[in-house]
Amino acid sequence: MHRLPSENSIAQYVIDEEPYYRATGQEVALYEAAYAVRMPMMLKGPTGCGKTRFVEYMAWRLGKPLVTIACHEDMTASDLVGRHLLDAGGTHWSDGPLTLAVRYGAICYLDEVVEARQDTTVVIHPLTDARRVLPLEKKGELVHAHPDFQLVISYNPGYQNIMKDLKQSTRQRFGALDFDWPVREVEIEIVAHESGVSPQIAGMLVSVGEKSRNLKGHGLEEGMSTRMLVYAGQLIAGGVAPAAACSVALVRPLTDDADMRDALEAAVKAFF
Amino acid sequence: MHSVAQAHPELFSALPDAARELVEAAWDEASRGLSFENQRVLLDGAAGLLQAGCGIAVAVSYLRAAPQVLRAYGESSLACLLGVSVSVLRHAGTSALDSLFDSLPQALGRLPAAQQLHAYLGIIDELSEAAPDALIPLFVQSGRLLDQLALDGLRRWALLGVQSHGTDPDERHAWFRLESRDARAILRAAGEGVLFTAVERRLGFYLRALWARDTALRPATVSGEGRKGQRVSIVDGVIRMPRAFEVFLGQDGVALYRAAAAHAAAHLQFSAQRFALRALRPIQVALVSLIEDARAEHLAMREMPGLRALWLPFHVALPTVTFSAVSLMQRLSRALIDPGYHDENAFVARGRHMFAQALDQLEVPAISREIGALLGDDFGRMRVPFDFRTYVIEPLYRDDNLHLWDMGDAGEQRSDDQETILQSAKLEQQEGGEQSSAQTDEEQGGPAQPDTAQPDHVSASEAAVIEAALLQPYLYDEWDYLVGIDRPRWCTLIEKAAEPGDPRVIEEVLQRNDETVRRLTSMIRAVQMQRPQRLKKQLEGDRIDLDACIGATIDLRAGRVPDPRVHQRQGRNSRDLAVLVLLDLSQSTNDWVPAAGTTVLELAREATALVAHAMDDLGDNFAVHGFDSNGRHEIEYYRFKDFDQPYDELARARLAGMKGRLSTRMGTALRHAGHFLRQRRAAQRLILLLTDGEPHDIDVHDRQYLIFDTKRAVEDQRRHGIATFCLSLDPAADEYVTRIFGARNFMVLDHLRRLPEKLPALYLRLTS
Repeated sequence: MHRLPSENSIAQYVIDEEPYYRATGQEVALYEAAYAVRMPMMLKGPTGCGKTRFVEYMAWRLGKPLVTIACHEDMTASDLVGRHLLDAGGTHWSDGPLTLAVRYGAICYLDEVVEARQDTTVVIHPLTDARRVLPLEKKGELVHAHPDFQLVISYNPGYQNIMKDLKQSTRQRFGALDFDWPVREVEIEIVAHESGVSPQIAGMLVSVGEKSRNLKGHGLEEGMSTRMLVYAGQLIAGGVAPAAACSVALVRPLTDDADMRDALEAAVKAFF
Repeated sequence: MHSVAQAHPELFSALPDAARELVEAAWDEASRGLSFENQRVLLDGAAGLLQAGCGIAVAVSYLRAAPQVLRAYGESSLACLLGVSVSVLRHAGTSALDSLFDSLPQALGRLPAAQQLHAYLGIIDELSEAAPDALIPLFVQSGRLLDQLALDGLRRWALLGVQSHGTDPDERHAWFRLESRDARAILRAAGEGVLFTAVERRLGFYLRALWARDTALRPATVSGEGRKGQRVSIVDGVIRMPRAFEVFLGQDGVALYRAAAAHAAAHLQFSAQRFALRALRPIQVALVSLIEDARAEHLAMREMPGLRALWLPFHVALPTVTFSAVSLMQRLSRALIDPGYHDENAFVARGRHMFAQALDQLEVPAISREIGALLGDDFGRMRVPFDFRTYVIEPLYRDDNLHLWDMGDAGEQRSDDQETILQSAKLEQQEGGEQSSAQTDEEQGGPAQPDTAQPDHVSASEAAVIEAALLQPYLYDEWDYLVGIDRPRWCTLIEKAAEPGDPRVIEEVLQRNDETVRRLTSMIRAVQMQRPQRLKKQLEGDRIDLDACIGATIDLRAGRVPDPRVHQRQGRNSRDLAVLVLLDLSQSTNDWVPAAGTTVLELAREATALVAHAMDDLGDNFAVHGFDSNGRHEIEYYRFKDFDQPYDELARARLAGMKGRLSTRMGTALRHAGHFLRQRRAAQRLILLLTDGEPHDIDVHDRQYLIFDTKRAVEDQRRHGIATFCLSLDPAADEYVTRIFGARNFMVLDHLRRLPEKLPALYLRLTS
């Protein structure tokens, strides 16, 4: 007995409210053009700079459902395409999130795709060229992609690990948008909007963030992200003293190195 | 109470005639409360010292000091004291020994445990060799030193004195007599303040964060002694920090260092242009510098307002009646940075006013010169005496500002005063020059190679390529624990071709140890059995687990809920490892081991042959390398077997051909071994170091130096995910191997004879 999920199950992936997204360049127009030809897209940039928010915003703007899959090391191909499940009546096939998106025309977003093992990610290959099909080997079915389906992946090129990189055969199937920390004024606007602090406080938070980014590769793997700055802002807006908020939301999560923490705390004090 | 002659007739009669009388006179006092046995030890010690030539007077001093040691710490401590005494006598003479005994009571009061006394004596022992002339001043100050320093602090302080003034006995004396400012500052800092080495790293991060540039921070040269007060100086873009800051008014030393670093960095950022000295009078030079300080700080605070709170606590000038040039300048400095400061003085007010007027054009350096020159004219009219020679910039965190001035164009109009300024600047630059060659570049970790071509794994046939590649020297940094920096590109490592010997030697080893080989083989099988092949009954996998499926189907038929774990998959190979066996091939490995009837090197060779056999049998990826050294310019490195190279005739021949010579510079060899392992992509990477002693080399006389460097090298490897395990054949190794490799990562083998069977067993235990 096969129980196919109804089209309704995709409805839960539709985004109803407009997510806040502040464009920093031409990325919205470029993405729309790419979607028009259903080009698979790759979003590159450091963690917490707004990649996920951007996809949510675009899905809302295009009026398409968005299926997000956070990739991890132990993810298998079945986690993407689906598997046979057993129940008292026998076995039945259950579509994985990727298959769901392919069947019913959603935008499928594979977040931090390099975290998944390389043999897992090859299942997306037939979807990302002219064929636009997804073979379900275990089920013996070839799913032709819905006209609305689009594949989007994201990854962080600054992540220093030789083992975790995208294969050329994978990366050449995508168009790419580069994301980076927004320019100062824009980042201030984002931090102020998202956290509710005054632009002046947001400005100081952004300055702290900029200072920490100077240390990337010199003791820090990554500088403070916009997301962290927003967290710090939210704490400040909630009545926490700025220095304490920065310590909790910015310095301590970033590093365990005592000297580095000391230096960062001192850098925070240069503003607050 | 018996007289000494009655109680210990034999020992007493052994004393020289001249000594007997004095010993007898001192005996009553000395022997009080001592057991008969202790009395013997005491007297025996005196006899020993007399025999060593200490002289009668010193022997009496001994009899005065030693009983207290016996009473409070016991016989072993007296033995330790005697040992050190002989060393002092030999290196520093009788007066130093006399001084030791004289000072001992005040030292003993501060060393409650025997262990502490031993450590203190150890420091004396070390110093008596390195700097015998320093002993007497040290003994004289021992009470004060021990009050302020813990024992390891005392040791560091003393060694720093020896190292810094190795060639100049006068300066060394000044250090140990605590007449040198540096010596006192470091002494004080050890008690309550902060040493530069302790904050260097975090200051580096701090400056990089704030200014997004590489700012070179170095300790000041020690010869800066005796000149104007210790200040930061900036030479050729390098910030030279005092080695220790005297503690300031309730501010901790870190804050002072940080304030100084931020100020110096502000100069580097905003004071790019040098001022021409030309016709300026000294007071004008001082005031232009002062305004420039304020200008740089204001520009920095404009971007980072919190910096004001960092600098402000150091401005403590107050409007007082004392009307001196220095106090006026301090007040002006404060007025320029502290908006809440009130000062009625016309000069201060005028300076403040002019600076405020210029606030909207702060980016222009010329305003400093303009305002400073005008203020200087005012100053001249006040007729307040000012002497540039004794002028020290305040507050403490500010640098000496000599870098602000262009000394080149003063020309012929140079006045005496300008000559003074020029002289101090020259001295400064000279110092900078001495050490500028020691500037590190940021690249660390990897070997620095003059050429980009790296010798890769080469096959045996490409002999010419090997030769060319092997002659490429590798340059590695070395850690100097006293200064707290990596000495950049300090050590030169040369890879040499290993000379092949007769491979049959290795086969004979296996035959000779067939018992061990058999045991090893069964251990290997056991390890292999543990290797998981297929993981059954998995929730998911790439194949169906047939047994589980049948079970599930039966459950279904019977109307039960089946176990959903019906898949199987390939388990990961748990032996995904790369091992590099690193052999110490120093001269000492040629030592004969009586118990085994062979040399250390032979035992190491046997052990290596066995472990290589085991690794080969297991199919593990391994390499066997070896090293020796002849000073820092010549560390020789041999690759007997490389990763990915079969363990064949050639590899075995090379193992058979290895020889022991020269010294053991372990740290550099470890770095090079790490360099190979870093290229391996294995889940576990291990350096297995086999050594027969502590690191040493002919050009290093400080025993601790190479130990600390090796420790540093081990930590570097760990940071790259490479574990280091040391198998030491030195029975006295416990003392240092724990420090180098960490508590769990070493094994000291007491019975050398058992090495050949221990090493492979250890390997299997480590890796399974």
